[in-house]
Amino acid sequence: MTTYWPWWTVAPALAALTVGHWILVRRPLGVSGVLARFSRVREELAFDRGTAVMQAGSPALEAAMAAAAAEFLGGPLPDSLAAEAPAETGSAPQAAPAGRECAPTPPLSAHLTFLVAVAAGGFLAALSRGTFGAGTGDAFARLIGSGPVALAALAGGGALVGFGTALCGGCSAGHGLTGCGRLMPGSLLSTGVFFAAAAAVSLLLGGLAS
Amino acid sequence: MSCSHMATCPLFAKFKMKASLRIWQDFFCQGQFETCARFKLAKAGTRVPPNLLPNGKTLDLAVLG
Amino acid sequence: MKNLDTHARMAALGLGLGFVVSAAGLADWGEIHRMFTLGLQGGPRDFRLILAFGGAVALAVAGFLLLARRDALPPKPIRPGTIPGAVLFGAGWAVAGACPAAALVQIGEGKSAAFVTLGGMLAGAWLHDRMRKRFHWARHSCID
Repeated sequence: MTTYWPWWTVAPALAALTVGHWILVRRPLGVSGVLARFSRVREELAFDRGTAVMQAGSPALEAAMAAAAAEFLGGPLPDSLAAEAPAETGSAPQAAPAGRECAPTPPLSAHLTFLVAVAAGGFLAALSRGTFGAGTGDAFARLIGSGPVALAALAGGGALVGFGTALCGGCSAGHGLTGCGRLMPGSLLSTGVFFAAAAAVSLLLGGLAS
Repeated sequence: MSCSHMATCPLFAKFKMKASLRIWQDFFCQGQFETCARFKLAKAGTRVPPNLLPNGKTLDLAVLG
Repeated sequence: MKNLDTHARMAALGLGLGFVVSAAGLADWGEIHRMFTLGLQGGPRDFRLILAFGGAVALAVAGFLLLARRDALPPKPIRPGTIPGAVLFGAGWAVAGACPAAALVQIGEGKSAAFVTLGGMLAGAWLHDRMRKRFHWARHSCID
């Protein structure tokens, strides 16, 4: 029987990762959205290219934006605004909230690094417990089965997870930890519902097996 | 009243940084944000292309990149 | 250089998440099943993971209030896909024994069957995107 961490170690560790992720990269912690990007790589790469060009802020970009502004202004920019001096933060009456803002979408390569690192973290942990290579365990074998049935269950369950997380906009980390951590209504509801659904199915599986 | 998406819109961060771009911010983000093409797409639940400007114009990335 | 910094931070955060998920037993099918059956079916009552999750949320709420009160995280409103999506996700999690992070961790732990799980997740995400575009569903991602 593998010894896992007690709850009072897991809880602060997960909370630290959730808040720490936001502070370190100014992105909400979440896995399903990141993973989903890799189901449509071409589209995501195109999006990344667009983001990179827009974020780079070349003189050509600003000229193009100034030209576009002239279109809706009905004339060229006033000289006072056309000057190259960067705006000081706080000099304009901004209604924008103080505090950190969300960073633009990281490139696919950075997200790949993240996903691989998650697997690597699992590898290190398993190594430290000496359980690398252990199978899915007795409970799974008892309640689902083995061989092709087991693989079908994993594939089907996985598909439900992939579809469902995309449909509700988050997973146990994105909704459960980050969203609930910020008391977001969509996350609170999602988390309650997915826990309830998982409990119902788990109890059903247990009931069927006995 | 200003746009509720300001904090997550990658363009808004860009507008803040340069005086010459703040006209966009004044006109849309802190002005007529409901007319912003990016706001409208986001509200509809559609992905917002990075090169879409608030006035609906799409910048040609091939020229800029 | 800036990109290297991003990669380094993502790597560190990913390693941390993977390690904790594994060490907590959140990638163990039996532990997940125990969590979701709430101690109602045979075996000893064990609320370890429920307490872990609840405690993590409580601490995250506190942490965000203390360190990021005025920060603007992307909002997560209730939308048409919220309930149906959550139902499907929960059901899938109970059967596959893995949420997306856990599937990756399982691969790292040497549970090769998890490649099937991960494949299923990618297929499910792909299918959702196709249907979303076909039927003009709203997009819920906060990826961008």
